[in-house]
Amino acid sequence: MGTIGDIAAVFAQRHLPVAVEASPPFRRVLVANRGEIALRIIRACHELGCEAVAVYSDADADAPHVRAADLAVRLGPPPAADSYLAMEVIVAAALATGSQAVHPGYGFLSERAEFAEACERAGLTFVGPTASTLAGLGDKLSARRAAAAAGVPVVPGTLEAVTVDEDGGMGDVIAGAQAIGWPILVKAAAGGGGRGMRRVDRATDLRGAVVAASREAMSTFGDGSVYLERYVAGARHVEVQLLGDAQGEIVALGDRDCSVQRRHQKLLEEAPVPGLDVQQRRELHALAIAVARAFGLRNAATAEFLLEPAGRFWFLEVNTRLQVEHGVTELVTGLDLVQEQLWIAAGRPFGHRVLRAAEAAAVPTAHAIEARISAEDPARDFVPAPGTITRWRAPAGPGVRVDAGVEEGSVVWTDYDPLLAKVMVVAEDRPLALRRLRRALGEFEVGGVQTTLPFHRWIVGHPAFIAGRLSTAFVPDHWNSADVREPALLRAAELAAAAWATTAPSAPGADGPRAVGSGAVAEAASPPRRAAQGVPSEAHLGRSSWARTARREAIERWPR
Amino acid sequence: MAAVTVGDIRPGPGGPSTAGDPARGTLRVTVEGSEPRVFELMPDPALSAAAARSVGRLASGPGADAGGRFEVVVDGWRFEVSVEPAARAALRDRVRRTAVRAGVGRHAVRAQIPGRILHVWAAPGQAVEAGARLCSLEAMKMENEVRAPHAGTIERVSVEPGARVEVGDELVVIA
Repeated sequence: MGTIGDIAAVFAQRHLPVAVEASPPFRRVLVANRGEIALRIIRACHELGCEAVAVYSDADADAPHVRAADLAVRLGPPPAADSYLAMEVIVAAALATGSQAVHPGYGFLSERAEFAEACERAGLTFVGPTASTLAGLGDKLSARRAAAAAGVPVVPGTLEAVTVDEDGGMGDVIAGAQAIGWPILVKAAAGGGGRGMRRVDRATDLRGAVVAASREAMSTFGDGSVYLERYVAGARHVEVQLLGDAQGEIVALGDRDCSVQRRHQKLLEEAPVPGLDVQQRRELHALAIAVARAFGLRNAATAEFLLEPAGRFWFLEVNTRLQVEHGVTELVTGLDLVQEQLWIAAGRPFGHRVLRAAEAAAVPTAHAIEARISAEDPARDFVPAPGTITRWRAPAGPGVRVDAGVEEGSVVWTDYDPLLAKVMVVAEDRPLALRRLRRALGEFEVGGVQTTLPFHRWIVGHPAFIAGRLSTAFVPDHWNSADVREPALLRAAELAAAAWATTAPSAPGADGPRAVGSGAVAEAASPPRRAAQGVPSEAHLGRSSWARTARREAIERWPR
Repeated sequence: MAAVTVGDIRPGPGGPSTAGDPARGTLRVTVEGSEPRVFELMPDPALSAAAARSVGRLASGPGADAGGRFEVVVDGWRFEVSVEPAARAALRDRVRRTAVRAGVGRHAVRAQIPGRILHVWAAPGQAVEAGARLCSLEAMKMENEVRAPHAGTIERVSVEPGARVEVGDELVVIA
């Protein structure tokens, strides 16, 4: 090799396969989100060779997603309405930074048709479906009608909104409900995450439930339309990962079971759905594709179904965005769904990898499980537990992936969703994946805030869960926090006594420890701990009483 | 619970000879919370190494001046625990009982979570029963009612609707 030209030729040869893909789908992408999902999207951008632009509220100025990005733009003060939901500010940030595309992640603006429109008007590519698809699918009733028209079985119920007149007028509604069969769910057409939803067991309760659900839907979504749907007892919540390219091709990339929920918030998901045979999987995937075709789906989406104990699938709804739990499908298929989203948004048809994964989707050869670790107290009905994270030791090792948006020192704010990290594991089958998840959760140490780790450690050891006997009622049927917490509490008392004795001087007359021992004690002593400062003496004396109101259902969270 | 490893056999910092000194006597251990749990127990020197791994020192709060407040995480459960010699705790209890009898019952109700004040029902001079609603605090889109820990008279209301409060901020003072 003599001349520069020779070297260049060799270089070009050796890197040829890479060079073909080296031209990224976009030069610069703005990530309109925060936390773990923003970080996850930024990583995908960097692997593709795109620059990533982060946005942040004042609460997140030092957040990991801001540091990971190539550029970052401040949006405004902490409340989401002033920052991550401020459409004009985000579009302006994208234009000011020369971004070509906007990835909305999940939650926030990901399913707002107005935002997709605003991006398109500004000449930005919205990484997601078209604005008209978003508008169509945002209304669950129109989704139900379209699915039914496409021949997909929808959960029995009404296909039109039900209304209650001031002067009665419930006759038709009650007759409709009788035809559907009790118990019945009253659901908001614009709803999500269990809001605007009521279960009704008797005809006499129907009127009140319709009025209450409608009022809640009006105040939450600005649309009071509600409909009736049969409550399917003992059902599992299953879903299918879909991708649609700009050429109109639609593929199903596998299924997930998300039955482990409380109040319609998912706590743990797995892929594939345990216990289905190949035939059932093919049927489920075909139903999902039929729904997607009916909407002219583009980019990533998920079709959700109920799986009756008898084995029937009933269509629930379509989510036209990346799901929180997309990672388990990635681990099973080997795809990077965010990178695929960006390629689709850039107009490229499906590559071989996607088509191969779609062909193999009904015969999965690996099993993945995800535990959503949130700052919530599982002993107090999963009430949010904000604070400062003073210790953060995430698991690692073979087959373990942790998508986290926080680190030691991070503050968990009250303004946003309390999801801290997703612990995902993959192994060749479900029993091995469960062992791996048990191992990973055992390694995870978090201090400063209460997390859902105790719940997750408990469930991965529960016989019914291990046996795959899942249903959406699993948590209410089996979770009893007091029984699980008590042994830990006794142990904590003993450990604290041992720690006190270890650090206390042995001189007679001394009544408290002076020296600080090595290890965790010393390391946790600094920096100043906000959680610790905050605990007032009243709590210590047990004289403070707090009551949570019945607004529990109204916790605002990511849509599922 | 942490797996028992060879490391557990090793004496922890300070060693078992001092840690288990019976001359220091029984400890009062309070696991804090809305329903505090109080234990009187002898420290187990065999646990000192495990404690070094799972126990952190809390820098402030009751007992922190004596260095006796800890954060302990067991099986993912997080506890705030204060520890002091049982004899000293008993003495403090006597002092407090005397003070309550003497009518020194004035104390501040503080925010236990950060958030925004939604409603204020308490008004200065108002007589309240134990459990009466004082104010409500919105955190993570949920309304939390703050109630009077005991009967008394509202001496001061330190917040107004819309105010943002941090953990430990004074809300209402009841005399």
